[in-house]
Parts: sequence; structure tokens; C-alpha cells
Amino acid sequence: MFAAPRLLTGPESLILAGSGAVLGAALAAHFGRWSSASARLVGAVAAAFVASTLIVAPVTAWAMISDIRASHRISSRDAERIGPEHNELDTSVTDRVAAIIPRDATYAVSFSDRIDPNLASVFRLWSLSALLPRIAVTDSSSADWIVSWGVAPPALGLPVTDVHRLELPRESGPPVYVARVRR
Amino acid sequence: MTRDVLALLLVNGCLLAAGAGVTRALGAWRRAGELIPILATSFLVGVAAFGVVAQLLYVLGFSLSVAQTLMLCALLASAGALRLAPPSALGRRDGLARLECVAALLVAFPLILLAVDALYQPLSSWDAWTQWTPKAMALVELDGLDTTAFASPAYGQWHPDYPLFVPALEAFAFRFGVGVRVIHLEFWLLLAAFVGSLVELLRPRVGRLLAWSAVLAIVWTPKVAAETVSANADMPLAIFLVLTAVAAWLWISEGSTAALGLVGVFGAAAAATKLEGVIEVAIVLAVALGLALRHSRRRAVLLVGAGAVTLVGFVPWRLWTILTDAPTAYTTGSIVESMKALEPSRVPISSLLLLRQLFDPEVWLLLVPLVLCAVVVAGVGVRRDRVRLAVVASAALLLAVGMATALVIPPRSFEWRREYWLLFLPAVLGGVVFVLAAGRIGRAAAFVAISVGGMFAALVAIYLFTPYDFAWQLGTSTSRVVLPLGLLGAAFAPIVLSRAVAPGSRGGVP
Repeated sequence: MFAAPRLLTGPESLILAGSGAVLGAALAAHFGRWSSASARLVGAVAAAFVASTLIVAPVTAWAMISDIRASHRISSRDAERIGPEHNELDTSVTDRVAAIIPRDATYAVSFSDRIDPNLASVFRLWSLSALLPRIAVTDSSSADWIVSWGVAPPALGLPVTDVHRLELPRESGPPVYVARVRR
Repeated sequence: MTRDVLALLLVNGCLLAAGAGVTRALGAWRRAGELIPILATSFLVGVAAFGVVAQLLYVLGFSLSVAQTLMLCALLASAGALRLAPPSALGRRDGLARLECVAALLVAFPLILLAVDALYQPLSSWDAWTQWTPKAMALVELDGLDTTAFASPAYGQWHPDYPLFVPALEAFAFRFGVGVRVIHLEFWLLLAAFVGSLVELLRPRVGRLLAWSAVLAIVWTPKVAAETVSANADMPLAIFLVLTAVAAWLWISEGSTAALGLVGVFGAAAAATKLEGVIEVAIVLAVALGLALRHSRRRAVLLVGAGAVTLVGFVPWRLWTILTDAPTAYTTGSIVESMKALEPSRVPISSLLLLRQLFDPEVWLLLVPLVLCAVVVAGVGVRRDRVRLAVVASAALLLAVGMATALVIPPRSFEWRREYWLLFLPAVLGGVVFVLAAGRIGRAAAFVAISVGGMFAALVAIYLFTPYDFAWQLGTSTSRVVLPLGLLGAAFAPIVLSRAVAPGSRGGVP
């Protein structure tokens, strides 16, 4: 994502923009044709506005070009998932979950204590959008399906059927289970 | 990607038609040639009106399918036949001088780069991928505002109480087949139109030099570029808030009925974009009302009417969240709890971090210090010595403290340290004296100084009473929430400067 031009630190930006502002204001005040002293002062401030930004403009432009070069290499699929992927979530697992749960069903998500709470939060957040139009519910007993990461569904105390075990790469943690709640 | 871009352009063509209808109804133009000088403003009016009405329609149970969105745009476009207000031209059609063509090229260059950047931008900003875009996808997938999702505790991390303007706008594009990646271009279009709108509204009133210099400074500011392609709601909020303030200023100073209409439309859009938008619009309109009362009772009364219109962007949505019992962060209970366990140290910590963000030269360059300079230049012309001295001294103090804060305090400094008093107390002194003194310089300086000061105080109050984890909220939001403050100052700097040359006219500056 484009961020400020990290090529310059704060003090460097200050010195560069400050020099531009002073130079711009001085040149405008000296060479500009102004009708009054107040107009000269106003013109100098206007020139400072322009000069302080334009002197840093090559750096800003380079930051944008660098960002374009970096981001155009990202595929459209990855561009949509970069948020959760950058937060250590392997999003292919939600694709596999989506292939199991019918589109008109509801689901509840639960996690083992072994799962890092931040990663669990990212999983929950990503599933809210990735599993649409399936609707998430908080009460597992009222859900049509259970998605549990690291906990086998029978251990949740609910009658389940059609249990799927989705293995993850070893570094991504324990398996994700998807099971239908028996009615 | 080409198909996505064309679809997005079609969507925005519809919004432009809608906006042209609304601005014509407001009396901003009559003949086709009169639309050209306010084309960018009309586009933003279309976006604003669509977003506010779309939120209202979602609340009323509409799905806003392709047919319904097209019908909505057609209805807004046909509003142009109504002619609700007498003619009151906002822009002026005159060609660009040679130097202005150079300025236009210098403005276009970063915008073109940013457009390409937006096209390839991944959805990486936290709020964008966890909240704003998922909500838009849900509006499409669930065919409207489905309470089983939008009012459910399971979706609490989506912040269901946050208004729907940005999701509604994105959902419009998604309905037409625009992908998640290209949606970033919508935010770029808003920035490009904002820049165009500032030129349209300021140039005839403050002169070419001042208008273009402010626009150039805004468009080259790294912070503006970064926030534009983040696909967060902060940039749209800043745009609508600044245009609400500019329109209110035009109403007060010129009595333009079209501008009064813009206050209602843009104000409603700002209130429908983010929760703090309601507070910030209220502050801007309260300041405008105070200035209008000094000028004319009629203008003040009509401004109150426009302020009432802005509630359309907030009240129906708030009622929906109450009636559906949607999870909300800022409940009365949570605020009472925050008051019981009040931590006064939050005031100086959040004040200094906000100040740090606002003055950070790495992202803002010298935009904010130069806005201070603009007010000082206006103050130098004041006859009263005490006011002049107060403005100059307080601006110098504020500038020194702001820069020291930006360079000394780490961005994630959430713990209070005793030495911070050396920055906080002078900041309070400088800020209060500056706002009070600027209030005596002239109406333009008073408007911008009191508005920005008021919004700053409101943000500090939000951090004081926040039910969220204090450090987490500070760390994730201070860099974004200062955007309306910086842009409001930059947009008003040319107005303040033009008044410094010759009050009531733009004489002396080309």
C-alpha cells in the first residue's frame, strides 16, 4: 500500500520542504510584481505553499512509482486477500470451507485455546466476508454448520454429522473442522 | 481490468448525471454551458446525494439492485427540472491563463500517477478489508440491509453502528461488476473531483494564484495520496466536510442559495460517512451559524434549515441501529462507564499524538504550518496591536510545539511521561490563544481556526470516553482522523489570505 515517501525521514522532509518554502517565498517577494506590501506578503505565503511541496515532489512521485511497481506484480486474487494473508492467515482454508457449506446455510466459528487470539480474530473477520452469503451466528447450537479451528466438533458437545477435516500446512497450525449440526 | 474500469466509469457517469440534476435544482446552473464550471462539484454532489439516499433506502428495505440504483440516479438527475431555488451561479466560465495551464499540469501529474497506483492497489488497509468493503459485498450478496448479518452480534467486528455511505457507494460499483481491486479508483475519482471542485469554487473568489497554490499543495501532500488509495472512509469524510465548510462560507459571505443547498447535501454525506462526521459537521455548522448571526438573521435561520437537512444522513441510520438492536460501541451505558472510570491522562496523551500526526513533516510536509502562516499574515494587517501580537506569538508557540511533538514523540507513545507536560501545556496555551485571537482577525480566519480547534477538541473528547482499548484506538486512528483538520485548513488558507490583501475583495493578488 502506498505510504508516505519513506525515502525521507521526518527531519529530512522538514529541512527540504522548509528550504523550499523559504526559497519560494523569498523569490516571490523579490521578483513578483505586487500592488502593495500586504499583497507581497500574501504572494510569498502562496509561493511557500507551492515551493514546499514541489521541492519534495520528485520524492513523492518516486514513492508512487515504487508502489505501482510493487503492487502491479500482485495478482488480482492476492490483491483481494492481502489483508488477512499479511496477518498470517492462509486464506485457502476459507475457500475449502466455502466449498463445503451451502450458500443458504448459517454457521458458527469456534477456536481451540492453542490458536493465537489475533489469528483467530483475523480468521473470524475474513470468514465474515469470504463465506458470504452464508450467515454467521454466535450461538453454535442454532447454526446449521460448525467451523472449528483446532477443536474436533464432537468435543464442542453438539450432535454433528458430515465432519470434514481440513489439514493446514504445518506452520499454519492445527486442522480446521467443518461439520453439519444434526437436527 | 479494462471491463472493471469501464463499469466504474459507467457508475460514475450515472452519479455525475444525478449530481448535475441536483445542482440544477439548487439553481447552480441553468444552461448546459453553465454546468462546465461546476462539473467536479456537481459530480461530488451526485456522489453525496446518492450515498445519503442509498443509506435511507437500505434502511427502508430496498435492495438497491442494478435497476433500482439506475432509477435512483435517474430520479436525482430529473430533479434538475424542478428548479427549487432561484439561479445562483457557483462557478465562472473563463479560460485558463498560461501559468494556470502549468499549474493544472502540475496538479494532473500526481493525480495520473495516483490513478495508476489505485488501479493496482491491493486491499490492505485494515479498516477497508475488515469493515468497509465486506459491508459493501454483504449489501450485494444479501440483497440489501439484511438484519441477520448487519444487526447481528456475530458481525460486531464490522462495527454495525457505523453508517453506510462508503459501503453503499462500493456496492453500487460491485453491482455493475467492478472488482475489489479496481474499487480503489472510486476513491481516486473523489479526490480528483475534490481538487477540481476547490478550483471551481475558490478561483473566482480568491484569485488564480491563491486557488492554484492551495490545490497544488494539497494534491502533492503524501498523506492525501496515501489516504486516497487506502479505500478507507476518512478521505470521503474529509472531502465532504471541507466542502460543507466552503459551501457554508459561500452562503454566509455571498448569500448564494446554491451554496446553501450544498451545505445540506455535503453535510448529510459527511454525517453518513463516519460516526465522528456527525460531530464534525455539527461543529462546522455551529461556527458558521455564529458567523451568520453577526451578518444576517435570515442567513442564520436558513443555515439552521440546511443543518436540519444534514440530519437525513444520520437520524434514519441511528433509528435503524436502535430498532434492530445492532451492536453499537458508543452506548449510553458505555459512555457512563467511561465517565466513572475516567482517565484524565488520556487528554494530554491523545492531544499530543493528534498534534504529532498533524505536524508530521514526513506525511504532511509543511501544509499545516503554512496554514498557520496564512492566518498570521491575515493577523498582521489587523489594526489592534494586542490581537496582532497574540496571533503571531500563539502561532509561533503552536508551530514550535507542533514540530517538537512531531519530531520528538514516537508515534506509538501511549504512556504518559512527566516531560510531556513541557509540550502539552504550551500546546494548550498556544492553541487556545490562537483560536481566540484568530476569531478577532476576520470572519474567514475565525471560521477556520474555531472549526479546526473545535474538531481537535472533539477528537480528544472521543478518545477520552472511548469504550475501545485506548492504546489500540489511538494507534490505529490518530493518523487518519486528522485528515479533515489538515484539509479544512488548507482549503481555507486561500480565503484567509485573500481577505488579508483587501477585506471583502480579492484585489492585489492575481
